Amino acid sequence: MKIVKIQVMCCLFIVILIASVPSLSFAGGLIDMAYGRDIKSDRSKEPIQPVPFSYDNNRAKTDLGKMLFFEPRLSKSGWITCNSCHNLSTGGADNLPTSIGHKWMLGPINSPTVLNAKFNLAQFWDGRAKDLKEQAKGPIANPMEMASNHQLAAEVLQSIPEYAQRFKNVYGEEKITIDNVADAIAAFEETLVTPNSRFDVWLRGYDKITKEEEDGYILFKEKGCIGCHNGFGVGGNAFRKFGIAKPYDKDTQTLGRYNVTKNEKDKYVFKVPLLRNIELTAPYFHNASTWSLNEAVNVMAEYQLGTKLTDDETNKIVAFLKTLTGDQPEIIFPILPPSGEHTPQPNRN
Amino acid sequence: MKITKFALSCCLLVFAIITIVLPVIVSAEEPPRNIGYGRGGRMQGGAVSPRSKEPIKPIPINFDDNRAKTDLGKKLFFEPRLSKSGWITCNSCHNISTGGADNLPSSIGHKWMLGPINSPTVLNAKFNLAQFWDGRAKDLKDQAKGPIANPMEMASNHDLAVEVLQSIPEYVKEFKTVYGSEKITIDNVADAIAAFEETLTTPNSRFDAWLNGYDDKITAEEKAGYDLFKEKGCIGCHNGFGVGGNSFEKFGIKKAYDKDTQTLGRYNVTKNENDKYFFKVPLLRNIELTSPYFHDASTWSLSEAVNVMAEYQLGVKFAGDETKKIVAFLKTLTGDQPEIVFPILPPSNANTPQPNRN
Repeated sequence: MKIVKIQVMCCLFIVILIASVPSLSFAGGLIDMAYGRDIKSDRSKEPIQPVPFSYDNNRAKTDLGKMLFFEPRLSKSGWITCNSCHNLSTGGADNLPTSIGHKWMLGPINSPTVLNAKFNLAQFWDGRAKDLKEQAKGPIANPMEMASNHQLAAEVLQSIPEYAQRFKNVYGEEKITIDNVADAIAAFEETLVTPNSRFDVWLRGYDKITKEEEDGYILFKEKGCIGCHNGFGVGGNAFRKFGIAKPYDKDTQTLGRYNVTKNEKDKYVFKVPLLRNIELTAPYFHNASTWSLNEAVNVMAEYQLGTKLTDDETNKIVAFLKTLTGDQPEIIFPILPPSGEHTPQPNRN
Repeated sequence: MKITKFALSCCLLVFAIITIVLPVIVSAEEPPRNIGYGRGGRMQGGAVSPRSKEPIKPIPINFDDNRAKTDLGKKLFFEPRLSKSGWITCNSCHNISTGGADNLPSSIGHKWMLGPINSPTVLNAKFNLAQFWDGRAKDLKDQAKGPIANPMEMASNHDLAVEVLQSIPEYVKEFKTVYGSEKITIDNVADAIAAFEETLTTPNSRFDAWLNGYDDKITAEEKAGYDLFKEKGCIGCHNGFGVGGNSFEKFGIKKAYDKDTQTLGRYNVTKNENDKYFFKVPLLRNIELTSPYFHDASTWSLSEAVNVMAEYQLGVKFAGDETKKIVAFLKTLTGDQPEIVFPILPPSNANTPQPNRN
């Protein structure tokens, strides 16, 4: 009997072992997933909200958009892509004072990150594009950026059978329009969010940040930064004047929102930039006037809040800002279909 | 005693399950890999197909990469801070999205300077007997150092490139893991890039599947093209794993090549009069992805390229039908393109030299 018992127990043990294998191998994944759920925590009322996950992508469309985001033939030279200035390897920006464009022309303003850009109330520093779709059309035809034009860009894609097929699958017709090109790019860009930052995990009730970082967050609220930098993107929800407390004297040439509205009051008013992943996207401000996050925080205190932070306060706020770096998008580098006989050739001049 | 024996065998059984069954079950849950024919890396060692003696060999598959090193190399391959401007990467001219080349007549470099020669593909480049059109770099490691310091390309210099990386703690750590030293050297930078580039092969082309014995993987027209490719003599230079890359040959064997007499090729390396207009035979793998063709990018059409080769190298003229068949064959050489997860690069800090666009 004893032997039988041992036998049974052994069998049971083995069964349990086998059954537990799947959960063993997924244990890591499960923990990561947990934060993504809507967990009510006592931090639900904080003025910053965790970046939500979205699982409801139209995969055919976002895959097409990814190809177009990395498609050099959308530029006149056949060399510049969306990713050239919004590099997903480096925080969704180019980390240059201003972007390099066609024939090495230098742009007038710092390139904003594409990461989490869907949380902006409008696109570009002056908000001249109402959404990502409208934005995507801009650089393709800007002579200082990709330097193509909408007709040529559509013609290039139309000449490539694989693109015609993909547009047909997504939009129901083989005729490629710039509107659909921009729509697909925007759909891909909407997937470029960075959830799971340590701060978001903290917001969901897990004690993932240090005392110093939490102190930084408290200062961020007390000093008033939170007035503009809030919500999902920790910014992007409003246009604000650069120089509320003290006129900003380092750049008086860039008029910002005024260029769109022609309203005198909108001079030097800019879209509040997102602070998500801010440690990855130096240099800072529309004029890239500093490469140091500490200095950027101090400039904000001086010109926007009219206060001076102690070094300790600045350090704490910077420590907090670094908790806003989330999971960077995992992108499989797309393979693009070759040009055909009728594809317009690139022009480097 | 019996109980003890039994308990012992039970223990053994449990142990066996943990060591044998468990890994199998766990790995069975991984998504199926897109490798089929190419398992060939090993299969080729033993399996003999009637086509094993063909002058073109299927691309072998390697499973023995040093992952830490190739991951580091991948980061460096996509690292814009290796250039003076902080904008140009290896991938700028050897774009893995577009056949490992830039599909331009010649590459755009720092300050939009245009290079003197068509950028060769990085895909399967490890099968070349040497690197660059004139073979001036003996291997990929030697090659990788070139563009970083070329003023018309990335326009940095080796000291600056190393200084940039050395200032970034995450890189220091990775170099330490791979090379055992926190001191980053240009030699190790090039070594890691080369290790990554060695993974950039394109196995599983339809032609390779045919070579491995799967008859229906190429059509009768494509097969006829391959037969012509051998009969006409193309195979004399374009053979082996890379369907090229095994020798230097003169451009203009049968008829002096008159469209470009400026580019001296191998002569620049050897200074031997006999080496004028000699070039490394380019790889024909994935050739449909990498127009324009030839060192001088003199044509965007693969058909025209085939005809130019016939005229200048073989001294024959192909019938329209023959060219078409050979082109059909060449298109069977497109293999699985590398599946690259776009790397995330560590940020610069106060000690990192800033980019210079001028």
